[in-house]
Amino acid sequence: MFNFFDEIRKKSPDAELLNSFNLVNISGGLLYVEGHYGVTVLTSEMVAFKVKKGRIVVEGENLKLLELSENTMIIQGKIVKTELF
Amino acid sequence: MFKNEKTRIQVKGLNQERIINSIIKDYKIYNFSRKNHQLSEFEIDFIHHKKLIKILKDSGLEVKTLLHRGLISKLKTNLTRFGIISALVICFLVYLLQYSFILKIDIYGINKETSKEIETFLNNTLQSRNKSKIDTKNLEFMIKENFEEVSSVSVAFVGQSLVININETVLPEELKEGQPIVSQFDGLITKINLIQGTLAVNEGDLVKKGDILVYPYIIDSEGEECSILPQAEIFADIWLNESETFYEYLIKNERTGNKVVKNEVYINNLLLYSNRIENQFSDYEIEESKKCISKNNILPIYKKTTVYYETVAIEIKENFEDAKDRIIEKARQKTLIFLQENEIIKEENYNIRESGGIYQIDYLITVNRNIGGVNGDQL
Repeated sequence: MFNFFDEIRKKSPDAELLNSFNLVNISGGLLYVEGHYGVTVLTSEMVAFKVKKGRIVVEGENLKLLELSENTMIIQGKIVKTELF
Repeated sequence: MFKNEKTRIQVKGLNQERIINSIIKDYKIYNFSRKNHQLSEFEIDFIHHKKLIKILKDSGLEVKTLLHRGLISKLKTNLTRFGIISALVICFLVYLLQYSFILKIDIYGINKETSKEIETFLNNTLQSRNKSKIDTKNLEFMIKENFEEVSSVSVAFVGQSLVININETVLPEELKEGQPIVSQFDGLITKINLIQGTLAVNEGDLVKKGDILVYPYIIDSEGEECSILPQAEIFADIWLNESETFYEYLIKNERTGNKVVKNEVYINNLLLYSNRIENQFSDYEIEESKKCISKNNILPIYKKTTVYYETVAIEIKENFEDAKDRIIEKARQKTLIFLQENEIIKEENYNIRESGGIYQIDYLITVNRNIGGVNGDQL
């Protein structure tokens, strides 16, 4: 089955290492996340969640989770910064 | 359809992230937003809301508000209202019960009077209004038996109505009951051509307008009267008569050409306006006319126009002998108006009567015409 992320990963020589999470920022207003391991912080200015070998912090304004499931989430709001720790 | 079935939950408590992480293992959360560090709001699928609320309460979170949206959630809420359910059930049962009864009888295909008679007959005959107890075939037979005007009938249930379609009996023209042929004019019968019926007159009889010429029946071989539509051609000499009067001395009012026009406007018979022109003539003729000015009838405003024509009396003296031919022709023309198309004049003559300078000419034209008619119409 066609997988968008797999197709992009194949273009990189380190494809095998790039399989922990996927993050897509759409126009700075929507952030799609795949491969999270749970939410740690949920506020309207910050959303933080765990990923394989680290955590990601998303900062912005009026943030809210459009959808949240075991593995995926969609964050809506003004996304100012996305940091990987 | 189930996409829009959501429950909105507002929770209060600490350490919500931990609980949310445990929830999302089994359920999906939508539109999560944080109001403050203790209060947050999110949506879940309606079908999971009960289990989720239990989990939230067990986890120590306080469920502040609960709002369902979507059709199924509304239905489910209403279905737990026993009052509504029982009312629906009762209505349904009552409907089922009354549906088995007929509420009205509709009759088509026959005139109003007979239709009412049939309806009365059925109301008296039907023992029950219950559809299961009504035999439509039997009803059809009974209607045909009791009403001669009915040629064919069908009885059927349509919803809660008993629908009866009737075809009326059509009698051939010759057997239809008719009115007698009566004379349309005074005359002397010259020729009779009887097609059907019983003659009341003979050739050579003198008849007046309205006299019966042919009766609407015949006597059959058993001596019984049978009603039929009478048909016959009855020709008679009739007399067309008009007169003209002549005066040797006559005073006539003739218009001089002068006139005065008075205009008045009324509102419901109250004078509103007048052009205040008064009649000055000593001898005059009046012509009045009214015209409605307002289009609606709330304010009936109309204009009355009165025209006064000045007249002058003129003496006319004429000798009868000089005018005789003209007057006789005038009388003749007046009489000829009553002549029908292509009618042949058998005889013409006139009579002059005189009294004190006043002459009356009576013009008489004799024609032969078919004088039979039914219900005032000539045949």
